[in-house]
Amino acid sequence: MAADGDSMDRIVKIKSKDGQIFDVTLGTIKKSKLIMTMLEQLGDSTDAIPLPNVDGSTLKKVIEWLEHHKEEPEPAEEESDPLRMRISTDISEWDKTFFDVEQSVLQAYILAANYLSIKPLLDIGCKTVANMIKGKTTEQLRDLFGLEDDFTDEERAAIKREYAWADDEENQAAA
Amino acid sequence: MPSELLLKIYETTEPEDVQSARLISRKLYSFVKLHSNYLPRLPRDVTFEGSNESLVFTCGRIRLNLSNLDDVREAMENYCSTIEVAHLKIKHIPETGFGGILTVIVEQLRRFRQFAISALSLKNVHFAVEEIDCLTRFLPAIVKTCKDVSVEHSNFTVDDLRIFVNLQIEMSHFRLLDSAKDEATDKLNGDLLQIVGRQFNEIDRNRSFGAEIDHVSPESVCDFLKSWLRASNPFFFNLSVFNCDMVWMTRFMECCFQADLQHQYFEFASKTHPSAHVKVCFSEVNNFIE
Repeated sequence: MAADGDSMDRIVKIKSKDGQIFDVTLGTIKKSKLIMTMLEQLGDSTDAIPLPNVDGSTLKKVIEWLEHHKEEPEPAEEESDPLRMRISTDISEWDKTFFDVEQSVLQAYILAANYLSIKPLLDIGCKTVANMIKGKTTEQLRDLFGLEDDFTDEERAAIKREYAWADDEENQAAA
Repeated sequence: MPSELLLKIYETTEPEDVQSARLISRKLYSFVKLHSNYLPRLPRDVTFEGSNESLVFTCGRIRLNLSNLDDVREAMENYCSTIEVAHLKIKHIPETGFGGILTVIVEQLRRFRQFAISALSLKNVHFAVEEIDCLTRFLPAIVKTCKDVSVEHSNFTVDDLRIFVNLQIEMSHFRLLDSAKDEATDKLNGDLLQIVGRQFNEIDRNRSFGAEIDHVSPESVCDFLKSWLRASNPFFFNLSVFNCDMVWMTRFMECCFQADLQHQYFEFASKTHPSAHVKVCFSEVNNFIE
């Protein structure tokens, strides 16, 4: 596909689950692998691309994110190295504000990024949740995710015992 | 949320966070159980240490007596899938009943994705050639994280360990004693010193380097000393070379003289840092440089 300036201004129509149609430029949407693949298959058709897994309000925010980051180059295809991910991914102030939303909304963004195959958005979204998880107790995490404790007392005790052998302070390897 | 996204989120958390996740709900408990190999795990040391006929496996608070290879396999299945093997120590494997143990250990390390091993020690072990091959094929997977290698009284040849030197990683400790003894060892140790010598200039001073070796040419040690003395950013090192005889010492002194390295009673002052110096001591059986 040609990547020159003209084609990047081309308008692409995308349609959310609830029927809202958004006009975006190719330059904005190009980070979505899903849409790029669909465009290739659709050829010159100008019909709106249906996105049955994303609702309008989420799609609007995703486009806002893409718009803000459209000048950033695609990160090089790298081997996923969790060890490095753990230290390297810094989140910009803009992104921090963008993701400063309710947990359910944040999850909707992540699911949309995953569905639309927008790797940088997915990476930052997941990293944001990971940062929220870090250092929290089980109860705090349950509140965060809105989950119910569905264990019986016996099960809970058994799960705690399962790992007791590894819980040896003296044996902790120096990091 | 689907598992692949949970995995992506938990991948960058700490091992303790994964532990808390197990108690949130049934769904998260089974998620962790199913994907533990791919999630951050608590680092623990794993030791196989033999005495007479038996072999003891240690990991965390667990101590198990192993009597055959099936025991080895089972112990690792039970305890090495949920922790991250930090330091792997293998010492005195009994001569009978454990043929092929290294192959089994490496197999299980691969199976449980133990690719973050930070230290490897082998002491008093003699393995069959196939077993050593099996380990050397595994080394590239851990070479990036493994900065402390110690091999003593073992039948590893220099080629087996070459990878640690060739990849020019920031080795913090290297020990190769009473194992392979040939010219190739001199070359390997010489190369290692050369690489570390170059790193004196590149890497910040928070690093340190320790090595205990028993075969290296005086020229290599002299060159190493020279790079330290001239480096802008030299870090602390401790190098012990064993089995140095009078001939070695004489050659070393000649090298220093030729390289114009001045010293007072074997104290060499750094050319860039007035307070830093290297002290060289010789003793009957070893020569010790600090």
